[in-house]
Amino acid sequence: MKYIFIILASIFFSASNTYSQSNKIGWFITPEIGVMILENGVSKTVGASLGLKVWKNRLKIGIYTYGCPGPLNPQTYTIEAANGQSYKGSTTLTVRADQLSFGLLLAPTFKIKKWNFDIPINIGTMGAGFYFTGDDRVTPDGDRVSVWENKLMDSKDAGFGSYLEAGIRAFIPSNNENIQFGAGLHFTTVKDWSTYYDPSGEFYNNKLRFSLFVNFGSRNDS
Amino acid sequence: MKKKNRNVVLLFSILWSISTQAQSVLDIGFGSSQQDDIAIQVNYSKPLTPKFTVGIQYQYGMPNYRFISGITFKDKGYSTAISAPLLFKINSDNKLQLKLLLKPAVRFQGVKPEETNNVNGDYKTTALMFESGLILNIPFNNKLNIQSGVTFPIIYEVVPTALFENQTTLLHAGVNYKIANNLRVFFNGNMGSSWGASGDSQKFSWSGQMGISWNIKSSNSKPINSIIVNYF
Repeated sequence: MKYIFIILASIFFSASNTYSQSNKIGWFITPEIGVMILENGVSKTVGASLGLKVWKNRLKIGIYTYGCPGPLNPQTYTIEAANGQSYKGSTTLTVRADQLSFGLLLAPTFKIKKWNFDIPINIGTMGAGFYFTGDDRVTPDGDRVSVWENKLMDSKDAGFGSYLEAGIRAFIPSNNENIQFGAGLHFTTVKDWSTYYDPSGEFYNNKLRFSLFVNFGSRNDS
Repeated sequence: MKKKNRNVVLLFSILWSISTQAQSVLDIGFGSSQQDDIAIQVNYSKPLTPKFTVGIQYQYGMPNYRFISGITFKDKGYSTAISAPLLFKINSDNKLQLKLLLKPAVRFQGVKPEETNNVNGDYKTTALMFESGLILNIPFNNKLNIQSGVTFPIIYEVVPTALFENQTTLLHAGVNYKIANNLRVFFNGNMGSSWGASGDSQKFSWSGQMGISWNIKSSNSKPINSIIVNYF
């Protein structure tokens, strides 16, 4: 991830010069919050997209990352420990979900009257899993909690997979074209991800996500 | 503790001598975070060219929730970090200024053996940190300055174990307001998803802080583009 960012930063440097000369390449930074609709409720998300606007601002290229962090989503889930094991005297484990996605972004843009829209398509890697929370993170033998989570959930407490997400974002018209608020609707599919809690891998698959954001960037006047 | 106090005095002395040579900014702030109940930080930054600012930052935290070798210690011990933030102005559009932040740092943490249930004998840790990202500066008017941005701090523990401790996507929001000539107050916050250490470390990070910015040796207090200071 670090190298991707450094490459992106280098492109930013050259792009900023190009931008100042021809105003044909721009940039954007879009922090966001949102919710993902899951099977058993909603999960709060936080993330951002950032990158360059090319082809006279008709296309955005960059990175898109968001997560459903466990501490923001306190809902817990229960499951029996693997192979008849127990943890602190109980064979039933209480865990919390945690997810993070990081991918490349391609977003064609268009305009209807004063409203700007884009169609963010992002593809990348998703890491997600289920973990102990609260006092359960203090292990009986003082070892790392991940060691116990691995053992009790058959080394499948968490995993990585690939994801593809597509959506549409609307940017509310603003007097200042450098700053716009907006909202988005996204649909996420996940491949090759499964865990001990969710062997089917459906927990984050084929889900809707809503986002609210503030978009900072160069103007769309080229 | 006396040694730490001497280090702080030494750091201030160095900063003060540097500050006598050119316009620069001194930030002093405190706040709270996921990691620290209370933390204080001193940040000195100096523009070397119109597009490049270099700084040095010292931070001391009283931990709330931190890690040594992936094992938690809570409400005990200490954490201190020294970093060298570099800011590159890469674009201006209208009033919006886009800057690249690169911030290498080193962090030291420690806890008394009886204050943790750690069984592997690791009670002190050293970590290398690197934060890169894009910071936006938006002068709203002569007095009010708004900041935002996205950064990607990375923490890599090197002592006592080699461990990728954490990576975060941090969203920033901040304001600073001119209260007197050369003096501003600032309020900053950040939050974001984290991962690392096989799931043993932070899964979400946040911090809030406030303080004052002193624009040294300037008769005209411009909107301060000081380096956003973070807790790790």
